Amino acid sequence: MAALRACPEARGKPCAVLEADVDPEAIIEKVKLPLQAVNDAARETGIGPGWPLNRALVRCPDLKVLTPDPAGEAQLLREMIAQAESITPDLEVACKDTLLLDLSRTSSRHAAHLGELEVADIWPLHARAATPDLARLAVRHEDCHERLVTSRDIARLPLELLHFLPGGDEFLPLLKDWGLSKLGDFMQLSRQELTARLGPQSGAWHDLLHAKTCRLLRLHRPPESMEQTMDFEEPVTATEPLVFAFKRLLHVLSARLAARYVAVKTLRIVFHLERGGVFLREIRLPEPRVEEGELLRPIQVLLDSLKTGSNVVGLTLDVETTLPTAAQRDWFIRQLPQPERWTDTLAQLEGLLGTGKVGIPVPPVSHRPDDFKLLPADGHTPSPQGGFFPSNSMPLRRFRPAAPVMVAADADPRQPRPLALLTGPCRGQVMETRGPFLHSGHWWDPEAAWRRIEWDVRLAGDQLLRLAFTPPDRWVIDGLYQ
Amino acid sequence: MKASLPFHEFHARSAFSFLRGASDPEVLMERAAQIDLATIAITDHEGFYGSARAYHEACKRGIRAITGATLEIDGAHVPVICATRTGYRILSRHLTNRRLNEIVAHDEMNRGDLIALTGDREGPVIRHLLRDDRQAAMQAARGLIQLFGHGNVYVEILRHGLRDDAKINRALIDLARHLRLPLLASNAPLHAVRENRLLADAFICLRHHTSLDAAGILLEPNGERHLKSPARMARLFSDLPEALENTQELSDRINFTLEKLGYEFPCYEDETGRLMDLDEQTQCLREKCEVGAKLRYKEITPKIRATLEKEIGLIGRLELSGYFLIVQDIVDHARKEGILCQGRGSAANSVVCYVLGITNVDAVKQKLVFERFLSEGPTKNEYKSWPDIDIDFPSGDQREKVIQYVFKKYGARGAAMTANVITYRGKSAFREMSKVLGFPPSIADRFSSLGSTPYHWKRSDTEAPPTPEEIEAERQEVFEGQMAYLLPPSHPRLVALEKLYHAVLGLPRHLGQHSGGIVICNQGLDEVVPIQPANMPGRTIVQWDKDDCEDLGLVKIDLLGLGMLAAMENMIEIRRRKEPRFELAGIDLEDKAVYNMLHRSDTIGTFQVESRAQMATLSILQPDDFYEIAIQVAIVRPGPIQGGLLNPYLRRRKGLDKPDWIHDDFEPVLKRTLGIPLFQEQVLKMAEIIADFTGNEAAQLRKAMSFNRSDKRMREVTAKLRERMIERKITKEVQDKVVDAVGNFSLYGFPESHALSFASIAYWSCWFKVHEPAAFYTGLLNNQPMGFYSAHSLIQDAKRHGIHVLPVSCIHSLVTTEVVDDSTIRLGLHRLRGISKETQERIVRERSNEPFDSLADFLSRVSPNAKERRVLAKSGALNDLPKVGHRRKAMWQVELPLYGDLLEKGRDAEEDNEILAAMNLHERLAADLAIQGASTGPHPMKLWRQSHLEMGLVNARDLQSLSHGMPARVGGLVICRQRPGTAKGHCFISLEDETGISNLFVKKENFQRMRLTIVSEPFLMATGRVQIAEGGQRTIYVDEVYPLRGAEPVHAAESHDFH
Repeated sequence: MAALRACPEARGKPCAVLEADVDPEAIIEKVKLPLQAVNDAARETGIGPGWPLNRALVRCPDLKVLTPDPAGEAQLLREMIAQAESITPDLEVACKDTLLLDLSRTSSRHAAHLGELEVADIWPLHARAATPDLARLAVRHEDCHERLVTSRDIARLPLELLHFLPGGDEFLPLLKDWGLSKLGDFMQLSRQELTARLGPQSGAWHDLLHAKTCRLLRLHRPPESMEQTMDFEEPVTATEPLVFAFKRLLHVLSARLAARYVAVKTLRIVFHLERGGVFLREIRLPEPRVEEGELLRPIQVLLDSLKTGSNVVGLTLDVETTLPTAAQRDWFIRQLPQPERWTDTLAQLEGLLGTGKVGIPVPPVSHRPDDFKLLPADGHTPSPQGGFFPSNSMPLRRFRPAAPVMVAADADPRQPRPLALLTGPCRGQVMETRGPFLHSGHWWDPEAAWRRIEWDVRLAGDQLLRLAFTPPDRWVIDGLYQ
Repeated sequence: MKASLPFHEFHARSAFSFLRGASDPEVLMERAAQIDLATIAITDHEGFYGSARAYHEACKRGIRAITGATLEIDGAHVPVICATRTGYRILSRHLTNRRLNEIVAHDEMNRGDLIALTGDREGPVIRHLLRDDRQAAMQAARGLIQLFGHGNVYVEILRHGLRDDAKINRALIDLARHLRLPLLASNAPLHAVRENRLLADAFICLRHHTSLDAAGILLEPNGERHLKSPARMARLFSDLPEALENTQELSDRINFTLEKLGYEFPCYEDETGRLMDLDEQTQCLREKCEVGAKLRYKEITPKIRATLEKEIGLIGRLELSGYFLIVQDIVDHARKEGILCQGRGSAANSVVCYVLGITNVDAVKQKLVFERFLSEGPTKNEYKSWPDIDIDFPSGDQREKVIQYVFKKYGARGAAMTANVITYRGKSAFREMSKVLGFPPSIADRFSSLGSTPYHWKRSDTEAPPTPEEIEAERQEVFEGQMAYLLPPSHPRLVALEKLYHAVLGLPRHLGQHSGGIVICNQGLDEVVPIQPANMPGRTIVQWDKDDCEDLGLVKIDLLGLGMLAAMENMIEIRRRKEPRFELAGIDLEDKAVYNMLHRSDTIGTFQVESRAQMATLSILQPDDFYEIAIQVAIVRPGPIQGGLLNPYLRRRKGLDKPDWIHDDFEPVLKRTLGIPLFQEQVLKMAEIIADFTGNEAAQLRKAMSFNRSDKRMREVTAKLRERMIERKITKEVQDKVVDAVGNFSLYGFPESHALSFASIAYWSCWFKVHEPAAFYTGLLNNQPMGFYSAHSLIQDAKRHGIHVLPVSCIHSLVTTEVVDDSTIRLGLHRLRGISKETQERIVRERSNEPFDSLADFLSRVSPNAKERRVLAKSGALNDLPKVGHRRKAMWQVELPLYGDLLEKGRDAEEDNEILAAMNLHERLAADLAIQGASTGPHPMKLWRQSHLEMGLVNARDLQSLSHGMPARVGGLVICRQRPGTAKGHCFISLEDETGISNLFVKKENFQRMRLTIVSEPFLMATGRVQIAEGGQRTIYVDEVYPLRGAEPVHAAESHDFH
């Protein structure tokens, strides 16, 4: 249904959804994939769920093959839950397309709405039964739709429906080999004999089909959101009122966290701006926190360095929660005795340098000069690597950024040899050279491919430089040897 | 020019270093020749893998390929070069010791026979210098000196344009001065040209199980590790001339190449285990031939004696007597063990092979020419070409027994299988390269392989071979076509993927084991070529493939497995129960009943002549004697069909056309095949007559025709052939026909002797089908899978021939299928999928100890596991047990857990109750097909027909009475779908029903239209018109194909599909 909804032009035409998520353009290569579901138009041509795609296409050459739409399915389920909650809040999500509703405490007037539910322009099928599992089986067969079914009705249903019970797939082939075709055939067998052969699970099914067992529903309870939003009467232009607002939000948040025995892992703040749009900031805490004051401090640091470019008319605070740490601070020496101060420092640095520019640099990950990797700085220290062995003994003072220069070079286009530096901080004739040192890499990606030729040069004034040439014609001074 | 630039490369690795080198050895040599490198040593990782190919290519290019290997010592890579033949032998044995993990003594390595280099950054010295540990580097260098001797260790100086090169090289020079070691300039190339660096990087990723994005500093920092010319190296090392001069000095010092391999034919041992000398061996051969001839011939005519003498004389002169004796010993051993065997290939041209029992074709009677097998032409100084004897054994355990006998007799260091170089092919190349580039595996899953690689060699050499640009364009087109559904053309990594994919295609991936080629040398095979363990326990392989072995003059024997021989062994054993002295050789080759069966094309299950194409030809050719069966076997093959030989032969055979001798001189050669050059021997003889090819040139032509590795050899030989014909003023038309005949054989042709060997097996199998049908089907069913038809089709065919096939039963069946009487067979327990061999044997053993008195007794004594109990019950194998009756009853009972004696009474009481309904016919059929892939019950089409009478389908039997052009509608179980390359895209389908097989022909256009139906549906219905072929066979020329409505897919047996 979700796949059909995502593809409105396929309505009314025979359609099928594949079990695997494959590119529809390339389906012909996967002709033996089984179909997950087919619509009525397709069913009329004689095909059904479980058919291999190749045979289905033989029977129904116009079959439109759709790929599963997990996002659409989730959305449909949400809509269905919303509708069902209008009848009863006691419901179980049995699988991605089936809800079990407990109507025992629902008035008949409310229950009558069951037939009027509408989700995405269609009316969901329903069946009623004395136990949740019978209802779950019954709704899978058209003979039971919109009816109150009993065990006798269930007995007339095909055996394949056992597939919808937990563990059913395992025994279904055997039961078919036994020649059973209806659930009634199964129900007629002696429970004791069945249990002796197939184990207690089969006895449980037997009871279930005879409506001898009734279980409690695993009630659906959506996760609670901690999100809070505050709108300001007047646009805020300074930090102070914002801090005040955050204090209020954190006060509530802290109490809610304490009541649920959870702590904050990440703070997500959305500033709603006067000129329209929003400004997002995320603060990851090195240790889960609950206390109002400890949560406020990194926010204050953030506010100190915040530049929104517009007045703030509202803010939203959301958090990602986790279990609080269970370490006993007084008894053990910890790597971060005062994690809140470390958080403050990081937040200040990030405010100063920009997002993503704070971390622990680790040695190069490629041959590209100056390549390094930044690990997150939230309390983890990288494992020590082997020592670093410089390629020569002279210290190099690097230019950051490297200084572009004009260089007079010889005519070899592949490896031009510098003859004189014409511009830049150090100019003059090149007296002596060493090189070229050739580096290249990342050739597999045209955007990231690089090539670099380095020369160590001595200028007339006895200055020692590292020059780098990047094709086609860029020269830079990489640094000065001291 | 060369003298002024002294540089030789001594540390190159080829793609045979497996993920450590990125160019084929041939390509390295080609490039070396282009850039004027006079000497190059291939030092593959832990072996001589690429040396054989490098040596051959180098010989052709006029340069010198030195043999060496890189040894991994304590994790460091040390290049070692063979300076002398002794050095080669030491290193070869040393490599074998390392591979086989057992020490066999060899000479000292420090006597100047081996030269060691300090290696690259993975070498023992530089790896310490990279950590600034000069002390350890010095220690490592001293270790090398101790191992290889002072004066035999060179300090390798590399300049790859890296910043720390200078620092490391300074340290190396200091070290060399200190230890008084010579310096050696090298570039340690990993690939031929700079562009190959891409593949080298990809290989690094594969070796480290990572992707290019994650590989980081594992990759090479630049693309400098390619072959560099002496001029370039001279510029790089201008400040260090001694390092260059030393390469010249080292080159002069090395006096070994693979030319001096020193392989000698194995000698035959006498009864005391002493190795005989050459004369003794020839004498022994003569004696054995004498004994054999008396057994083979009732009367030894002067002609036979003269032929024998001539052959023995030549074998003796070529010093091959030991070889023949060794092969005869293997065959003898097999016979003693009761293992059926038969030589095939050109060996069947020899009377010596016939009288020694190696082959079964009487070369004198069949007028076969010995020179095609062995001739005096090639001398040891010319192109080496030793005789090739292939022997077929029953596939499976029997062949393994023979192989193990050879290993046992010659020891792990005396015999080994030849390697089979597994190369990167379409799918594997794409999978690995896309993985390296970070594409998800699903892309590779969906990539369909290229199918047949574009065929560049054109048969007529008047057409120019395609230029590299044309080949590249063709490649690109194919690749783009394949990628159309996978990646958008704008994908940034598509270019890299394409480059890598094409670069890796055809490069070696790993070494496998050749199916039957075995190399023997009773004087230390491990000193000739390194030996390493194969994947299969108890087997070893040499590091070269069969062509490399042959090129270097190593004699190999092919011990091949043939399913039909295994089946025939079974048939003979059954026949001998009636006639203990029965021998295949005693079968009359002129049995009318056999030829009648061939004329009827009733050949399902027989050897070689059972396919649809063979059957269709049989009905036209109507063979009347044994030689015509050989022609039948040889002519229905891709080569002759594509070469357009089949129809002219059939027309001439029927007298519709006159034979065309191509050239008058060819008449004696082509007479037996009515002017059609059908056999390899004929083509060689033609070359001899028309182009005056010498024995050696003919041997080269034969090798080129059977060589599947490169088209290049073929082009060279045909060019020579044409050149000679032009010299001799042969007309253009004749030239073209001769060149065409050669081309056809490159597509796969038969030697006449080989065809005769196969024809004899084909004839015998037909004889069994006619005279011992029960034994025939039993033999086939016991050796499935083999041949063209499934067990289901064979059982149906057996039933049509009046054989009663009894189902599997725990009370009556043995493990294998058995003959009950002349017209009844009982399927064996082996037919049940999912029943282990142990359980099958336990059933038979327990039953023979004491009959089973109940199902409970059976279960407690045989103890099958839960899955096996279900299979046994479902298959009906338990039905004959007391109080069981039908399958469902058994299925209900076997699910009960076993309580031993504890609760036995309760079980007995229950056995009488009918809880589950018995299976109906349809269910039984489905169960049989699911478990056995075949059913002894009615054909599924018979059941279908009963409920679909209104459809009015013509069955296979009635189809044979319809006249040409009549419309017909047929239906059946698809047993075969074929679209052979020779059929221009048309499709052939065989439908089976309860009366036989109907053949359908679907035109290319119709096939494309109905492709999905044809390839997906297990049962088909087709409408069309009847066509009667020349031989009277009916085929439906199909207009429409439909799925057969109402047919159950669970009733379908497996089909053989080639589309």
